[in-house]
Amino acid sequence: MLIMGNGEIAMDGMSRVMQTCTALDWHPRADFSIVSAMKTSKQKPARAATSSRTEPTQAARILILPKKGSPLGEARIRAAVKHAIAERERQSA
Amino acid sequence: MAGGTTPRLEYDRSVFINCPFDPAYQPLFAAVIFTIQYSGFFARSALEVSDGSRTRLATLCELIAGCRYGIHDLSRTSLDQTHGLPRMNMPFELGLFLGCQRYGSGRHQRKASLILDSEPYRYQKFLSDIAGQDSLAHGDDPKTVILHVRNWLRTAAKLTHLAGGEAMWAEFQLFQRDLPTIARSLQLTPAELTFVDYRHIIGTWQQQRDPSRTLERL
Repeated sequence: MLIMGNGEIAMDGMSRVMQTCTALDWHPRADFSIVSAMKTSKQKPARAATSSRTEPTQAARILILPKKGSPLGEARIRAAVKHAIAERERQSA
Repeated sequence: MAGGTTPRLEYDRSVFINCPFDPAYQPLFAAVIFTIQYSGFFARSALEVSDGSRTRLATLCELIAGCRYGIHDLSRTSLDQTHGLPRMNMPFELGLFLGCQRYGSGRHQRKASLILDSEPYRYQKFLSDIAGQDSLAHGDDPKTVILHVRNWLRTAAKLTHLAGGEAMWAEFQLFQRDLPTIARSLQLTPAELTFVDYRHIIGTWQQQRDPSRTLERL
């Protein structure tokens, strides 16, 4: 997932993503880093000099993987499977 | 090639499923995934990747490079009812897989394919370039698919311990009975389960049916 914006916006977006992932029982990888500085004033001095708008200067990259492969969550799936097997066996008895 | 860094164990147990995704094919698709997972392998499909920033071809190439085995179902290459045009994706992906095996180096040359069709030798009429390759007909029957996939995996991977086809079919039917209850507990319908969810649930179900099995997630 790529979140772009200036430093403050990127960090804020990342924080929101982390919160959402935690709520969904996903596993955000611990390493997220500032990976690029796009169109910095160094690369585009003329434009930077004439523009008062802040260019997007930083992008934060975060790799998000669901815990052990499913976004539904291991514990929820295990409970659901256990319940279904018990229910069927109860009906068959 | 992308996917060339896949760890060896993961590569040797990954099975690329090249099949249609339309609703009519779902019972067969479910049977294929179940058999792969139940046999201790790892089902892979383009459905597991959702990345709008990549082309579908890039995704397919990476998947194929990361899988030793490939199951290619050519039974739905008939004319599309809406547009009256043939569906070429499955033959195309089979070509990519065979190309990777033919021109790739090292482990890619150990790739193995199972070609399925609805009728025996029908594919030779529309894909004569691969005439001579073994293929198996399933007649749109999930049980036949399970038997074919199970027997092929046993031979291709030289497995010595694997449940029989009839036993696997019985387990699949039991799993299908449990699936609506499982989905309901997760506040979903079976149709809403994604490929990743379905694959994951099979492993958990199998482990709870037989707790002596080790639950592995690649």
